[in-house]
Amino acid sequence: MFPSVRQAMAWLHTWFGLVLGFVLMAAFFFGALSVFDREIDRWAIPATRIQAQPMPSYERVLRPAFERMQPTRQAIDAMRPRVDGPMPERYDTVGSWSAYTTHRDPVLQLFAGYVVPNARHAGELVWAEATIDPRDGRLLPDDRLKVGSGFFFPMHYGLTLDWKHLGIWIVGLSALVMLAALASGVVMHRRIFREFFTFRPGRARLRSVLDLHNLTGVVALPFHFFFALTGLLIFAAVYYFPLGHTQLHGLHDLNAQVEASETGLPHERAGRPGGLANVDAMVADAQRRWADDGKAGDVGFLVLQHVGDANGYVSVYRAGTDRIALVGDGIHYKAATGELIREDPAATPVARMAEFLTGLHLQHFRHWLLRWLYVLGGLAGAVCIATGFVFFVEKRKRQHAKDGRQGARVVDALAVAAVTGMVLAALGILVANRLLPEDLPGRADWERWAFWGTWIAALLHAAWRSAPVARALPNPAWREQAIAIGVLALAAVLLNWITTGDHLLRTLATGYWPVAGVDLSLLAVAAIAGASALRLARRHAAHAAGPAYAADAEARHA
Amino acid sequence: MSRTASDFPSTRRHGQRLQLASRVLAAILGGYAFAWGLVAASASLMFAAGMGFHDAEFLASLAGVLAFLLAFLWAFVARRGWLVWAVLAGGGALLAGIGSFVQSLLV
Repeated sequence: MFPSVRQAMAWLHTWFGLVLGFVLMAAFFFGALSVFDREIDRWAIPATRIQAQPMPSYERVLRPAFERMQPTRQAIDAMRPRVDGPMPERYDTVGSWSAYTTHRDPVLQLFAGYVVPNARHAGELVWAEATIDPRDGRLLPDDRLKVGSGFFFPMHYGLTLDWKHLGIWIVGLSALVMLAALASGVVMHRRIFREFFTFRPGRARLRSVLDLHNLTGVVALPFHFFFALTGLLIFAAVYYFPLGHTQLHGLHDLNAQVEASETGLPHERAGRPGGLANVDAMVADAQRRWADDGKAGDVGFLVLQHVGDANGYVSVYRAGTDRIALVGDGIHYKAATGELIREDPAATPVARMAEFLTGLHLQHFRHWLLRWLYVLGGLAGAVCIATGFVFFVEKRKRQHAKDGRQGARVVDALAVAAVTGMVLAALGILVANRLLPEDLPGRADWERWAFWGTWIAALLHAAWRSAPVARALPNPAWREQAIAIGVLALAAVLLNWITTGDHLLRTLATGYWPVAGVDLSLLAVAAIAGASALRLARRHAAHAAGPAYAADAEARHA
Repeated sequence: MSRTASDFPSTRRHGQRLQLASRVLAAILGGYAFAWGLVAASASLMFAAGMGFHDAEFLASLAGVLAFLLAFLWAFVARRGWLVWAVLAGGGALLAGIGSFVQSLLV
């Protein structure tokens, strides 16, 4: 097929990198943003701009909040096809109540699952969700879009294409291609290394683009490899290789039976009513036991299983703030009496490895420097792919211009949309979040439309301005969108000030870092975009002045 | 380029495109089938050897992802296209069969 291994690798690197690079760009960029998803949530939902809170008291805060919950109309309708007979209006048999928080969450997520009579899969529950203020149990509006954890994060792993998990599959294939691109890039690199010493004065920009591509790819290679691999592993058993639910269903069930008999945690309801002892006392007991093990910490996840039933039990899990591995150290109590049923045993070596690998990707630990390094790693990946696009275009555009072909022009326009357009879309949703009226019905949908609308506008703009590329000249859309990024980033900071009164002097003075951090990052984006626009303008002027001068200017810039 | 090929440039290019498409499909679909088979066989064998299902599943998935990567790269490097398909699709089916067979012995 290919005359040599190196050529096979080059083909694969170029073409898979080009086609799936657009997806990878989104995975890296929104992954970098997701590192601070909770902080972006605070910026986007001003009612939740409070300090992070520990898990509140069950008796005082959680129980009243749980008791108020009911599944939404949509949840009931979604469940309807999987039920024989009519769906009831009210749900009073609670399958499970749970509350989840992290060390960066000022708000608390509540989940309630209700038993549905005549459900086809025995045990399938209909679910309700709520967000509360953990200080007083007040219900917070749940229809507000959590722009960080509810939009940027799903963009990172699934492009928000929920139909048949299509987005998750596309991102998964792209992660595999990222691994292949790293491997093939290293194979190609040997030859490229020799070419570094080749003098190419007329092609200075080509060389500097390639330098940056190699630098961001190679310096962060362990980061890229690790994140693509662990990203695949996190979803492997659920989406990519779901053997436990399909081919090896028999083994999975066999294992579940053994586990259930070992743990002593009842899988089903007894059908007899049962009481509930003091849950706060169980939580206090769990914390004492962790402390005795040298693992003192807050509760991250609290679950009440089979609520109101004689088989009911309460599970208390630690928040994984103090270590990389994503461990729960669950302790389980009999609901009716509060007596200890079981402490989760020490993890097996394989489970410890799995917890470490997934924990390092999902980062529930408290380490702000490492968190920023993750952002840098993600952005390095985005730069690596962006320079890959630019290199693809720069290498071909003169030849394509001579042949009258449009390939370089099309790729360049798509690259503009994928690079500056993606930043614009992210800024578009933040600006819309501050501009839309607070009580607008379907506000979250408008915000999403602002995101996609901005992105489509950026693509159309890039296509409309792309004609010069067919004459081997740069697309002015790069410069114009850089200016737009600067304007929108500044606008977002100003709008945050105007609509909430939280300007930087105040958030910095009070040390409210979630909002101050987002504002400072937006200012940094504006500064970088402004500097890039200036540089591109200078280069553009040089091109206008004539090719000889342009080559000279490029050589000086490179 | 050999003389016979230059006599029929369009046929040659057409054939090359088909070959390339076949390699791309083999890399993605064949690679996936092979990885699936490897996960099935290794997870069931590790479970049979006494490991917990979720531990076996995790290790097998790790092996599956890495095998997918190698299969993906090999699909473009290999000399013969038919061999790529035979190893990836045939091997995947064989491995998946081992997985089901081991399961049938245990359940």
